[in-house]
Amino acid sequence: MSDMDPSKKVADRYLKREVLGEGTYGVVYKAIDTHTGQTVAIKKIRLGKQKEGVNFTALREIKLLKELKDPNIVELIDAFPHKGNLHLVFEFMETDLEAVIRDRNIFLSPSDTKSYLQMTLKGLAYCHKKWVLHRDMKPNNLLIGSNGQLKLADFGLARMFGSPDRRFTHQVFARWYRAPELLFGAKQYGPGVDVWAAGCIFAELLLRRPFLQGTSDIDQLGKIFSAFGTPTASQWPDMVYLPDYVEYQYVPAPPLRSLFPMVTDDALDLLSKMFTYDPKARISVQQALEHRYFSSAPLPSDPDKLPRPAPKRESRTSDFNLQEGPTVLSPPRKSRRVMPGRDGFEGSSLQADKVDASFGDFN
Amino acid sequence: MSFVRNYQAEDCSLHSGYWSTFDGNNFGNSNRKRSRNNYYNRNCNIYNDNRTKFGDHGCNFNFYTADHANYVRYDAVPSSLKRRKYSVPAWQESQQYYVPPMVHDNIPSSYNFQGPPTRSDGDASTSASCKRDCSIFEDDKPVFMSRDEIDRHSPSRKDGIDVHHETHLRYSYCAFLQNLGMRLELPQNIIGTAMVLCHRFFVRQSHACHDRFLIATAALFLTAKSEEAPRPLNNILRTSSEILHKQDFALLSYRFPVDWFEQYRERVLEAEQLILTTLNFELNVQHPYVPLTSVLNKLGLSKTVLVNLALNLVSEGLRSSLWLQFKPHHIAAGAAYLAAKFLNMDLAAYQNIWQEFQTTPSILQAVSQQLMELF
Repeated sequence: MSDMDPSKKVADRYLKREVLGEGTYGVVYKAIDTHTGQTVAIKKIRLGKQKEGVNFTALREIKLLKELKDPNIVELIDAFPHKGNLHLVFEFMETDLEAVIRDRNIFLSPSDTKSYLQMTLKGLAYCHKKWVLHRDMKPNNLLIGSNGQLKLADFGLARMFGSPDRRFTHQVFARWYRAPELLFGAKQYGPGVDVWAAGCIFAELLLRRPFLQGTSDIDQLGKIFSAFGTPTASQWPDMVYLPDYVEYQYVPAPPLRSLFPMVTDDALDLLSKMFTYDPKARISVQQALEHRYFSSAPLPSDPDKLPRPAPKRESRTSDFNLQEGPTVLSPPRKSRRVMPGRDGFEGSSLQADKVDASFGDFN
Repeated sequence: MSFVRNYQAEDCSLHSGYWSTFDGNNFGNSNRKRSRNNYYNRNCNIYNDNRTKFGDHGCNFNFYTADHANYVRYDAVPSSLKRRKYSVPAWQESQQYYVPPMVHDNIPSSYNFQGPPTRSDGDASTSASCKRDCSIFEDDKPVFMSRDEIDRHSPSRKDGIDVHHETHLRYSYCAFLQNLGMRLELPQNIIGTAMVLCHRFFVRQSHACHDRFLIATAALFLTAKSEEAPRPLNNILRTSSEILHKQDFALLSYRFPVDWFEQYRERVLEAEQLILTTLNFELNVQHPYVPLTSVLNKLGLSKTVLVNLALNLVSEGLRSSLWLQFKPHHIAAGAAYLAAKFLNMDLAAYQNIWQEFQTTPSILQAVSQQLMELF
């Protein structure tokens, strides 16, 4: 029987450490799996007395991550309910791509940029092969492990695609990474939206700052059009039929080289293909991986040679007391039914309560 | 991986740990010990007398009025179930107004029995298997089992529910799910997925300990959410109440205690979490519809009676345990084979058809045989 089976979990399995941050729908903690000694990240999702039961976003993430097993996708190790919350246990990742990009002490060589982009596209290619759109691609959802491996995370907005008539919401992605078809309100879209976002991440790796920083959807389109020129009907025939289409003043496309003066021709060519306006003509992730940019010199760096931000000193949360040792999260344990009227009934239950009280939990 | 090897008879109850975790914390019951014992009473005493249950509160309802008498047959119950004990005080303390559903067949739901309760001085005793039910899927991915393994090692066996009886229980919750899903205008693949999740659930948990209609309602609610077609819980609860009680929802409020709907809601939410933990959050179900249509399409049989008949056979097959035994393309092949037999067509004339389905004669035989048994 697998360790991951909830019925087989031993009490006090996870030693809770510091808060790592806020996820899409809950707090994320660092913890130690006492079974394996492995460091993990635990995402706590409040269940409480939710009107509609288990969180929809959490369900979506669990369901998809159970299907998606790939070196470039974060691993969901376990999931269990505990004290009115749902806990998702992920492999622990040291940092994320946003931290790498923002860290001014890090020099990213062309090989490093190539490696980070390649790992991003590999994870994305696997998703698309499995008919999953990520729909929330951005640098802080690209986690980096201690071995330098980059992995896609946060599948809370992800969903299956494939049916040609399937209608989706266009309110996905952080605005700066949103494809123009989404900004024009498209409800039928495909993997091209992830490719556009990956293009924005590529540009951000090259520029070391977000590439298209719009303050509203209208402004975002303005930023896109000023960077790549206003799309014409010949460039993107379906544009005028999109629900929120509005005509923008024509701006000619500046040379891409003026925006990215230091990059190679191969990099520019790949960028231009990822930023193609018409989603039908936009390069696919698999085609992007086969682009000569990745096979030309300099070759991508080995993941374990990639630069990483200096680790922050581990902060202690209020319930992590040095004297008492780390607090312990107990997944649902097997409960013995205690029969009233039996000897020691009260005593044993009180003791159990004391034991439970001495351990922390993720409330 | 052999089911026999996976199956463990020792106490590895999923639901006991689950309920102890959730009863006390999620649902505002301050007395965990009491709520846990009440859970066992509610779920494993399948002979509760509802008049006793509500007697304390002056609600002398008999939920089974004369016109429903034929749904509950005491003689249909295995003898081992008749010995199940329960304690009156625990029922009276619990104040759980979950309304037992009406049943559509002679196979009782675990809340439905009107047989004479056996009194006991002790607390409610559960059957051994209620404590013993455990997962038979060792890995994250569902392990396919043989029919024999499913039949012999079902947790329900230990509660005296035989194979024939369990088959009828399976048919009844599938019929209920089909009805509920159609009323909620859910696509067939979602209804089918809910059925398969219920099959997986009852391969790990005994029918004697869980109301199949409650589990089915929660499974459909859960599946609709996970398959991106959520339905408001209140809609699901209203519709399922109407189906189970064969009455308009407005009338049900007059028949039952004031907070019965809230209690029902709470039970479905508890059941949703129980399903998730029992199935280890494994909600992915592959259906044979795609492999069936794509292979037949490849062979130029896309718009034929054969396709329609085979698709109907697949939908009928959802009532069986085929999804626990075979991969989707194997079920698709069996359905195509049986449909061709019905239509006196020789599919062997289509070269490599069984290779296209990646199947073997023995698998074809087994699947088609089980599909035949449904008629």
